[in-house]
Amino acid sequence: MAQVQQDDDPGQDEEIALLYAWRSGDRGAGDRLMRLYYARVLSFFRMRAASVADDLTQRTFLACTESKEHVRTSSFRAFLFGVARKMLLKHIEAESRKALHQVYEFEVGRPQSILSPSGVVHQRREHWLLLRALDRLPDESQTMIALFYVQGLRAREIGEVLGMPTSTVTTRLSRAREALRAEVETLRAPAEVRRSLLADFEAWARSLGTAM
Amino acid sequence: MGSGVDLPTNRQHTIRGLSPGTRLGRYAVVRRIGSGGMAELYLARLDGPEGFAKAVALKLMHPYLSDDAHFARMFLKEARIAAQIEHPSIVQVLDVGEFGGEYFMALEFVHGKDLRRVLADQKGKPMPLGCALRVVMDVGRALHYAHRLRDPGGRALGIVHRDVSPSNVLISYQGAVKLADFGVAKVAERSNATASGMLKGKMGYMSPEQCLQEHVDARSDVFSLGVLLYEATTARRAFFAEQPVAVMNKVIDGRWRPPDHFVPGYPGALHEIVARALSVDVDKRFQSAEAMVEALERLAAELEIDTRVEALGGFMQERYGQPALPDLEVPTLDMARPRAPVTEVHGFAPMGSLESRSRSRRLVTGAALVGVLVLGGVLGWQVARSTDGAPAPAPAPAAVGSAPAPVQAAAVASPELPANDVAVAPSEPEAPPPTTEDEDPPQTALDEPTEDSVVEDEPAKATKRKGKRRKKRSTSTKSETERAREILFPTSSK
Repeated sequence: MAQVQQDDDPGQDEEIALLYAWRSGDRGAGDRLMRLYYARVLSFFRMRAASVADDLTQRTFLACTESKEHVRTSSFRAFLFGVARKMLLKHIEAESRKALHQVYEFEVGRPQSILSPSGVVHQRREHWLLLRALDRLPDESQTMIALFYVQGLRAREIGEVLGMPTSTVTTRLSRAREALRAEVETLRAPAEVRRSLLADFEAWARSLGTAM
Repeated sequence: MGSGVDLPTNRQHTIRGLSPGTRLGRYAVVRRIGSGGMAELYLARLDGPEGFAKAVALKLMHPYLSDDAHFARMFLKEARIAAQIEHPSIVQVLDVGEFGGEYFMALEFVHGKDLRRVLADQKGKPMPLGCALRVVMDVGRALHYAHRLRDPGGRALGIVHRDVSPSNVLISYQGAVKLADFGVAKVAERSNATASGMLKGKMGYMSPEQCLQEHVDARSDVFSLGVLLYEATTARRAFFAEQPVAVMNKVIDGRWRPPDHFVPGYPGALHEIVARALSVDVDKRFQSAEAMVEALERLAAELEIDTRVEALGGFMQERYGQPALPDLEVPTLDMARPRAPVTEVHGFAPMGSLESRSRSRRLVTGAALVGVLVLGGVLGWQVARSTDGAPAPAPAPAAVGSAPAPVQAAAVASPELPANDVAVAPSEPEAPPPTTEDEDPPQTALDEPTEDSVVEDEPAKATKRKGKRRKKRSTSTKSETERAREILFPTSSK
């Protein structure tokens, strides 16, 4: 990266400091980083793979532990979500491979009860609509939106996660946002829910993080 | 109630774990038989004079939910609705009572399995067509009956079940089919409490309008019945995806695979019935469950399909043999253990005052079960009221922890909740000692398996995870990775 300069966000500096401390053997620093991010990584996975979110979250942190020596980033969360994203892709790939061979497999699974704690959470109708719209976008757009709005990463950090220049992120992000909006406008939904969602689209998107 | 069900995980796993022999008024707990989204289910024995004993299922709300007045209301609403329902294909609610300030229901006990279990045991092979049709037709008739119920003044009640799914359909070993769980049923005249945005029902079985939280009527249940028909005849889920929202999108878009994709030679006329039931547009659906049942009956007649009850009973017995009725013999403990301090002991709870009761419920902690309600006069007999003032020494909160460990363990160990047995009063308790948990794991009339099973048994990895956790504890010189695990696992259950 051309200018590897710290963000003005003081939290970020502290995280980088923790990361270095962790690398040089300070376990307490590792603990703190994980505690700081556990819920956020979990919500990232819940949006995309609810049934295995816990498992993927734990794998992500384990992988971080194992690869922390190789971190080349100015942002811990970019590193962390980079790992998370790889986990997610692996999972999605495995699922689709399974689907190919699943024709004769028994598919009567457990019904996904909305009353079951893992399923419930997003109760606001606006959140449901937003999630339904997201579900229709390609993976990369979903990830960008999740990282930018829900996790609050900056374009530069998203670039690190996805391995692309910041300018590309900016362009694609705005395209993803438009596509999402278009989906929200066409999906079948109660008019008042759509209106309320579109009225403050970004705030609803941001609040998904806590709703998951 | 606003925040609904997003409970701290530690509470989701609380299990009441009543030990065998625990008395709840006239009922003695025999064993736990399952756990659903809202409640636990126990096999119990109803004792009468001169050694009279009858098997019943007791449904107790989960402790973590019973602290929430909203769920207490839902539970009682189910009882109220159920009290008005009497149909051979609907699990009968026999009684409502209170235990330690919480309500329970006594239900007809069905000696059989639920459809989810039956389909799972089929391992992808559809059940015989006639049997599948029998099940769907019986459920359809039951729904139609409930949909058309009227109050004594002749006004339509507008009942919608909203949770028609395989786990709520019980099949006895004799071939009797019973629809269970009106737990989330809706009565039209009541205020639309779901406007708060809480979805009720199961993803993949809810109609499009239900997913969208629009107005639902009987035709929403027709859609769910269509899903049931699809699943029973193909052994595949009609709408399935990994993510709940993706399932929802499929339902709302009406995307499902033609059944003959899975079942070669699937009758075209049956495909049409499925398609009509699954219409996204309510006006294109069968306008009543009865209309759908009639279409199925015509089809069965034309294709000369054997849909007799006997055929279904034969199928069940071929599959499961003829399991003996459950053994009801347990030593009974005299006193149930309340889970909170007793401050006051209440007696009889008339239906009308339930709401106010649920508010003051925490105070109202009776030692043993107290009042028993006679539902809408359905049961004409006078019910014995046990222990009114008997101020059982209240073991206070500690009692929660002191809930008999073995049962708790057993309960956790068997989240697989299979069978269900109901109905017929098993006559005399037979000789042998209490059955072991796995012998005839009866299934609940309820929603679905315990939360822990839902969440945890899905990926095989989960088990692996547990293994790791165990290992971690035994090691003292920890590697970095192990250390990380240590941090992670406790956090995960937060």
